[in-house]
Amino acid sequence: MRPHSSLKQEFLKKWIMGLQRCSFSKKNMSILERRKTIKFSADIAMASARNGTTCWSRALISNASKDGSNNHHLVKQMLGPESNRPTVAANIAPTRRALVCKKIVKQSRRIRRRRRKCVATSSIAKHLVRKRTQILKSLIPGGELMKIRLIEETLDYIASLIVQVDVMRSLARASEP
Amino acid sequence: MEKDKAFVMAEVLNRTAIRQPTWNELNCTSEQVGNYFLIPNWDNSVDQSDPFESALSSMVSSPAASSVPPVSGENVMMRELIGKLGNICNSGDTFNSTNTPFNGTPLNSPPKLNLSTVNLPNHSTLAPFSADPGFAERAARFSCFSGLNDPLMDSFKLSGNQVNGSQSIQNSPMEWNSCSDKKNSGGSRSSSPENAESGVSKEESSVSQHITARNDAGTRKRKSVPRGKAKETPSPAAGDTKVASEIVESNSKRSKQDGAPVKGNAKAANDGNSKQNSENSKQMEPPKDYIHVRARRGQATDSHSLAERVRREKISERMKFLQDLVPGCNKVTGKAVMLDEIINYVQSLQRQVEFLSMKLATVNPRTDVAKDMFQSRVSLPHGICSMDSSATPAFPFGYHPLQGLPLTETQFSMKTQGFQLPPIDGLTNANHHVGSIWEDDLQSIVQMGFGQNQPQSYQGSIATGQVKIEL
Repeated sequence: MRPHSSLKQEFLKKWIMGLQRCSFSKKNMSILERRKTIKFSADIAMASARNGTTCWSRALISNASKDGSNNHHLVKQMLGPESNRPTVAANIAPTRRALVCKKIVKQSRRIRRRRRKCVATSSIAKHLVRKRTQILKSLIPGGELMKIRLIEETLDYIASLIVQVDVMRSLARASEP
Repeated sequence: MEKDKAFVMAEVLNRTAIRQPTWNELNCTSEQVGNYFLIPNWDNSVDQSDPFESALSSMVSSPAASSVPPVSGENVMMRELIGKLGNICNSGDTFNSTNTPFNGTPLNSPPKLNLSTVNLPNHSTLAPFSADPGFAERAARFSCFSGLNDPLMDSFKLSGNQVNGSQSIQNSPMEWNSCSDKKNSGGSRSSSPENAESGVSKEESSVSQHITARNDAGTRKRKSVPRGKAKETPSPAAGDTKVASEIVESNSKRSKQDGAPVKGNAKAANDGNSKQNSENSKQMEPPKDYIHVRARRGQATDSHSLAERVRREKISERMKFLQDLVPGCNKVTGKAVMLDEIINYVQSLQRQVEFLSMKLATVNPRTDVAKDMFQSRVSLPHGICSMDSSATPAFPFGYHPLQGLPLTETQFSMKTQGFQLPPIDGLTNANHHVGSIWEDDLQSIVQMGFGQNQPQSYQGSIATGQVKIEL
């Protein structure tokens, strides 16, 4: 799948703006700091390129702008004040509660199943799939909150990652002597 | 003719091709076209058995050399795009004949469409779509599925709109805005209210059934989109047992893949989905539904299991999209292994991002290099390509030059200030300092990229403020 250059341009624009704003706060950053800033600004740019339409982007931005995190001031610089950011459209709060209920139900079922010692292949497959979805959720920002749209979000996230990698790779290649 | 295109395209875009060159091919020639489809899937490696998709890719990859003289580059590409798509769908010669009248109309057409970003010719030039309502539906469905709003997809929807009911364009944006909901697969909803006559709907149903037939022939992708839509309207059929049997048959084929139902999200999500499905079906009930669903032989027919099946189908169709996205995942069947692959891919991408950011962080802030870049950049807006040879191959983006032009201007001016006063800040904000010249490097590189692609792809006169696709 080839991400579109429109997305690339969007990402690039936001990234550059973010880098400009980030650079003003510190002088003489070490390499590690620079790397962190680059990656961080790239992530934020990527997430904001989605304009709040996807869950992972919102989760990423909200995680970054928590007051306890390291770089929340950078996020504020990059994205402007909270009022300017695109509003969180959907369902994060309700799904949390639903999540808890679902987890309880699931656990009880799982316990019951194990007691029955059901070794059917379908249950094994289910178990495997469940394990992997848990891993996937841990990878994707905000993945814990998604249940129904996990795969769509993954798709979108992968596309954004590909864009990010392409842009960075081209920049890195261009800056080689 | 479509087969020829399929073969041409198959040669051009091998499925196993390396990423970078194909990306170059796709983008350096007709990038404008590629921009119109924000749907990520279009640029995917090709499924050769899908003539529509293959021809689309061939169109994207082939240079914009048409017999139509470039009145304005934008409209040429648009016409080409429409032309080729129409060719695919119609397989008719009527389209080629209607291609030529485009020359006179484009710039005169009042922009009735609410496409501020794209100066499309109005619905009169989208007339070729009249022969295939199903195409517009498919396109609309696909765009709704991917969830990305795209002006071109709006135009396709509009064309499908106009096709179906010969509605005025003013009505259609409202319709389309109302059906921005993904689950409602906009094409069906918006086009169905306009089908006052059952005859038109029959035609659509036959077309969409034809689509399912063709999809069942072996493609992976949009097979389940009409079926998913069908599942949402599980009302008894108007007839056509042939299609029903096709659906049943392909369902049975699919059932082997759906061996294990997915993650135990089960009940709550299921109920949510079923509620939504019932809502959708209620909304779509009064208009005609084209594809009817039949319960599989030997399966329960209550709403729960139906909804469960719908959910599973949706998940499996999305898995298929992911299959196309994640390279090397084509032969893998089974959800667990595919999820494994996906996880690996996401992890590798994240690692790549880390590595590349590290690499970019080590770009040395060298003022002399920046000066060279600056000097070479000076000549760029004038259309002279005076890049270093090393930098020239570094931009396989193929950025759309129309977009690049206004952007270059603004960034150029910003950068100019910044660079002439290196120890002092000249950028938009204050406090620019020498220590961050590495970022200036990045920015200058980017602007080089923007400026460079400008003279490459366009020969005709470009109205600079005219079209900004994405900005």
